[in-house]
Amino acid sequence: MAAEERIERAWFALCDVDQLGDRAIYHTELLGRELVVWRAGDGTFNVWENRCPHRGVRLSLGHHRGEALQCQYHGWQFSSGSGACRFVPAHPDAAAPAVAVKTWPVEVHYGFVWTCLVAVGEVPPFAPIEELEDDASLAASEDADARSQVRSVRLRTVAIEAPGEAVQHALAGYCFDHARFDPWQASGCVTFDVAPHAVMIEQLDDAGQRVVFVVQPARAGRTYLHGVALGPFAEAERLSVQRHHQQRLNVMRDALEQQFDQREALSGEGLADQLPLCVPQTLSPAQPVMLQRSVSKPVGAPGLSGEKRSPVNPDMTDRAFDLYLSRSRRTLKVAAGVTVLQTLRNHGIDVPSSCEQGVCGTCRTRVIEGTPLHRDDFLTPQERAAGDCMLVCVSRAATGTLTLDL
Amino acid sequence: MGMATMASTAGEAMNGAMIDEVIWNDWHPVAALDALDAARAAGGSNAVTRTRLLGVDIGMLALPQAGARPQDSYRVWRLDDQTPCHAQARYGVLWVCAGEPRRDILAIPEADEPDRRLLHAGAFRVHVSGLRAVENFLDMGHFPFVHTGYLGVEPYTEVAPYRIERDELSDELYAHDCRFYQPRAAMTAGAALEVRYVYRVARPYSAILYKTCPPQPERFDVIALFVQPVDEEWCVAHTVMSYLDDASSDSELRGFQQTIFAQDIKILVNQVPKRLPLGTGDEHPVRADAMSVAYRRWLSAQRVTYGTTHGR
Amino acid sequence: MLKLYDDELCGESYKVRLMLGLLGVPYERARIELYPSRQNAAPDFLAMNPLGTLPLLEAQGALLHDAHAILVYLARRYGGTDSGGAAHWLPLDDPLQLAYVQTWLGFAAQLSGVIFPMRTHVLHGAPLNDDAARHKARKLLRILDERCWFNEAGGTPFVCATAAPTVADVACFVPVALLDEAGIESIDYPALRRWSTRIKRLAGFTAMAGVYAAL
Repeated sequence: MAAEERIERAWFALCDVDQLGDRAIYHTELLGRELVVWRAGDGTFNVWENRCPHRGVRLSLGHHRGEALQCQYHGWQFSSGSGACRFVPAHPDAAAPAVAVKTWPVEVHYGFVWTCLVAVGEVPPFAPIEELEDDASLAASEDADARSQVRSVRLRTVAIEAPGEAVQHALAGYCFDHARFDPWQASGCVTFDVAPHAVMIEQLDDAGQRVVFVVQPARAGRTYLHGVALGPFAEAERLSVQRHHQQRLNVMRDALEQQFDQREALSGEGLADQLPLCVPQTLSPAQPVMLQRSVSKPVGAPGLSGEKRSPVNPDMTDRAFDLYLSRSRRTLKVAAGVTVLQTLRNHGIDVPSSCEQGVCGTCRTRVIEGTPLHRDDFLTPQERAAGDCMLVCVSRAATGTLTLDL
Repeated sequence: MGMATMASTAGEAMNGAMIDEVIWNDWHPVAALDALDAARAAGGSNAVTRTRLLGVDIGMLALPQAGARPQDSYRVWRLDDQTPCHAQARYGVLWVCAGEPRRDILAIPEADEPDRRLLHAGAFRVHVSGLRAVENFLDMGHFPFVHTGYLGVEPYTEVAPYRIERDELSDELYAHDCRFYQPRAAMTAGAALEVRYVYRVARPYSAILYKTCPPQPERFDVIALFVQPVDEEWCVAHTVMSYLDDASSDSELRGFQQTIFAQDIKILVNQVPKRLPLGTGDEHPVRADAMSVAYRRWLSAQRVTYGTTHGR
Repeated sequence: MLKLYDDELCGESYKVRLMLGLLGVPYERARIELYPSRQNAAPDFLAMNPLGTLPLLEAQGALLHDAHAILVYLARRYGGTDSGGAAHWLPLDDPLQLAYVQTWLGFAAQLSGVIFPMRTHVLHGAPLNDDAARHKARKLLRILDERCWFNEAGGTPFVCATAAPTVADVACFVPVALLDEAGIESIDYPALRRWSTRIKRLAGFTAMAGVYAAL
């Protein structure tokens, strides 16, 4: 358990920054949490939970709108940076609800986007990987010559159906040689651990070429492997370096997967094949049951019973009234046209709320005295009639004073 | 053998988890009658069709018997122990009760009107809780984004306020005065119009939509979504239509409904979690969601947990 | 006027509808229902196509079946320079490129041959050897993802390593677009996502149920 907590508090690489151009939404996973990574038009990087807070649809299905992500389901838009909802198409003229996508800390190092799955305020400092730092500083160098010679080449991220520890362990036997392609070369390289989730493999010959691999544990039994081949390389060599490592990583991946042979379990996947499909000997119906026929009036027929809203007395709708708060012993005046919720806020009293449209029930508050005037779409007729609670974001008072349990 | 009583009071799923009585003892759709009849026509009287309901594998047979009413000609039994299950044919669908039914299958009086045709648009299996499929059916806000060009189009995205009603007698939910601007409301791809809807939730896994029928504005075309809970994370959606509209062929109408439902499938399989998160506070409604809020509260009031996250 | 016999939920048919949209070619449609009535197995359809497969295209008095053959026909007839269209769909003048197009059309047939039955298995419970299908799907998708990644890195982001799409892109796009419905995760294939978005942004892109256009 403690080890897992340590892992949780580390920074992990998620993707190459080059994957985020062209208004891309990058879909990935870290320690069992699905994430989307995207870069806004102003350059801000975002790492968000891959789930719209409205009805749970994956944001990876959605659209990158420059400074916001739009969910495919209802078109809700969430702003870069905060993840806060900025627009709900179903109510285009209303203020957006106080709802946000869950966001995670972001940093960019060595051409990768990194995140750490901890709450704001508990984020540990990023632990640099020295072997990649030299490179980073050269890339930022004043000297154009230093910059122009490509020092490192980022490799294509490889997905491996094996646990992160097994991948890291297998890298101990990884070998390469950019000068020639030989997938079976088994010696001539040595592996070092350079960080808890990163290893460096170095050739032992004069060339001393090195590659650093960074492990991203996606979920139990699945790992993404990022890599940086340390040069110097000429620009024209870039693709062949990437291909070289791709071929070797594929071999390593296939060997690991054969070892683990993960079968994907699909819950309730379909029809049982094991049960015999024989017709029972006595094919009789179940015991007959006399049932009361369900009765339902055709829709649209006049006189369909149901709750009728009490006719709204125009004199009472928006008029001011007094609000007495029983616990804090305060009396507030709720002005005409100002909601109870807003009035409370204006006096520093914070009632939890969300939709502010009388639908979600978050702001439900107990009523001790007086008669509420219900304007919501949440309470049942019985709850309304009982009159002992109300939704303060939309409802008002039918009496001159209302006492709330606040 | 025989023990309808064994499973009557409370249902046990294959893994031993208890299933809510209200769900276990309810009628659920398991097959289109056409499909069972076709199986018999092709494979003879021993052609068994199988499916899964509430985690239990069942076998079904269409058995025409001389003198029997068509609705009595279907036999259903559990494949694990051969126990027979209650079965009834209605609205083009075979309904099964794994336990002991407390009341009859939901009533749709309009379906009995003589000038309507009944069409089964097809059964589709989806990897999501059936409760999510029902909730999606009750929603209009997604029309311009998921059913683009069919049931809605940008910029006509606003969902006007509508009215929720509870029918106390039958304990069913209604949403009245629903309206939405649609470019192509039905197969008759004429002009765009503002379509009026009434939504009804009759059972936890069954909902019905009543929509204005342009040729006869005081009556409705009826579209029902009967969802078969295969288990808590899989369902089969049966879409049944009872239509007045006689301008389109059966095939065109089925094609239209299949397209609409297949558009929803992409969304449904991408909802996280697959089970409906009742009581967790992880999902946030707005005013347009009043019907889905009412639906979730109604499920809670009936103590439905099957297909939900069980509060977690 | 071209006449297309198809079903709106049929993946192979969508390849042809997509190509028609990208080429901007008008056509009539006749619905042949796959499910539940299996109109494609009825005698009058079998008289037109004894294989009973969709789509079927009536063109110039002839009946063409096999989606990929139809893609080639449409690209040649409406996508060549003599018709004023874009010749990139079928690079007739470059034997090597033409061979690559054929290779990837063959690949698309293999991919469709595993993805579409998985989708039908999920939707309708059609029988399937699930493990074998998953393994094959993963192998093919990995090959395609790797190919798309390197093609993009080399500045030619379409499947045949071309700067503009060919019919092979249309043929590969459809099974990839329906992975969710087939019960296959697409999270491991970020290059396929980028390539798919590129295709969705092409002028004339046409959607089908479950495949959304991209902004």
